[in-house]
Amino acid sequence: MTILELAGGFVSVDVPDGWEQASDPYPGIELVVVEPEQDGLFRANLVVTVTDVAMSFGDWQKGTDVFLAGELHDYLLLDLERMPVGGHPGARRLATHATAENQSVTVQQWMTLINGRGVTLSASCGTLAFATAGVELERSAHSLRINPSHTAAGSALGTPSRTTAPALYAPVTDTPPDGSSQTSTTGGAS
Amino acid sequence: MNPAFDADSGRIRLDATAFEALCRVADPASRSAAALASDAAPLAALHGSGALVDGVAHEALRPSLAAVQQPIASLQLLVTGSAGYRLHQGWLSVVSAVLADVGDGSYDFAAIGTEFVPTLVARMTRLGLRPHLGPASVAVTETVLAALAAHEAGPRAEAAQTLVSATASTWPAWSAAAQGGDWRFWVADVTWPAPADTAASANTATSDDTATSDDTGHRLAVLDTGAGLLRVDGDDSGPRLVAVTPTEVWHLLSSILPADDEVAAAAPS
Repeated sequence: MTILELAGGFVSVDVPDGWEQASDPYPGIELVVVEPEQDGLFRANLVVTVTDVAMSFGDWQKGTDVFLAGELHDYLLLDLERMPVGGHPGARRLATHATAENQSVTVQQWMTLINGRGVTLSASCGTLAFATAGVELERSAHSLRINPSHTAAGSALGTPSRTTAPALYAPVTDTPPDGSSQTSTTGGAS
Repeated sequence: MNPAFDADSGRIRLDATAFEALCRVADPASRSAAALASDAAPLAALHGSGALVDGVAHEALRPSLAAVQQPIASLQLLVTGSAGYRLHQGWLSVVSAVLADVGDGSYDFAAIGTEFVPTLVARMTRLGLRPHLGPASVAVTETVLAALAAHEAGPRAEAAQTLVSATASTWPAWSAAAQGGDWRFWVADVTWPAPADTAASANTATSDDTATSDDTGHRLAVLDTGAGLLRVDGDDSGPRLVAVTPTEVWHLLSSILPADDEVAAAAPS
């Protein structure tokens, strides 16, 4: 694993050694790394974004759900839960979809909102490789660290409009969102 | 019913008799004299739908029929609940085929990319967002599991009531949902021929009616309510219900197909 610092040190993440890094990702996309080519199979990849989010965490994620369902073919949302992300309150979603090349892909996305900056880490792999490649991708997700003190040093983002990540997707738990006890997700993003 | 065929998608809705006749068209060696006689009416209907052209299956149906003729593995997906019983079948190959039980005596037959089989199962079982139950397990009997899978509604209802009691103290919300009739039981079996030297002792061999004693495979059985998911697990002490998340179920579904080395070992030398 190689540790990469992104967005002026606001985010750091471990990425698998030997993966190819995109040289010029779009604005807001801080990192794209892709596993080496394998016989035309879908290449597992990690994408980290840091964007200005001028809305609540719940509204941001509800909008993301609508966007993903509208943009991705054969999209199926499978799981959604609150959990710490990068040491901050956040959430994780699991979904599957089909690529334009008709490959089945499973994507896990971890997201959090800190001082108006939304951070997402998306880890995608071929569905039939999820039991193996998914584990390695999760290691990267668990290595994600966010340092709020670097907020001002990030890329050209607007002034943060919120300082907390409010409740999302209705009350989902009566215990800490640490995965150690009974938690719940809800189907409705109320 | 008259078959309804869509040449663009290669999908056809038909009844069991027409499906069997269609398979015999694709595999003439399987057509006995008796079958030829009884196939006359369904074949006429298949011609009428466009699924057969001059006695031959439409080209859009050939990938799915090829999977039926020479599958590498088979899929059987049973989905029961308070409202009904459906038994879906699949034939897994380079391109796979599925015969989905619509529930009214008709079936949807279509080709599907094999890597989409987990998605197909997820859609047919309505896998999706559920509350995450607290980690725990509860013993259950084979008798109850068999009754949950029964074709008749009565045994299923009785078995569900047994589950309501068995889970009440461990997962009260789940128990309440099952009490209200909000439950589904599904069992996905993927089977393939066991290697000759292990067929007699395959410890993962499934016990359903369609798998033969020479089959081995992977099974995933889940009890689902709006309050959460339970997986059927087991050891020497018998079956148990174990709380699982949708992510854990997806993890198991994504690896339910045979690995290359599993089917290679089963291939005749």
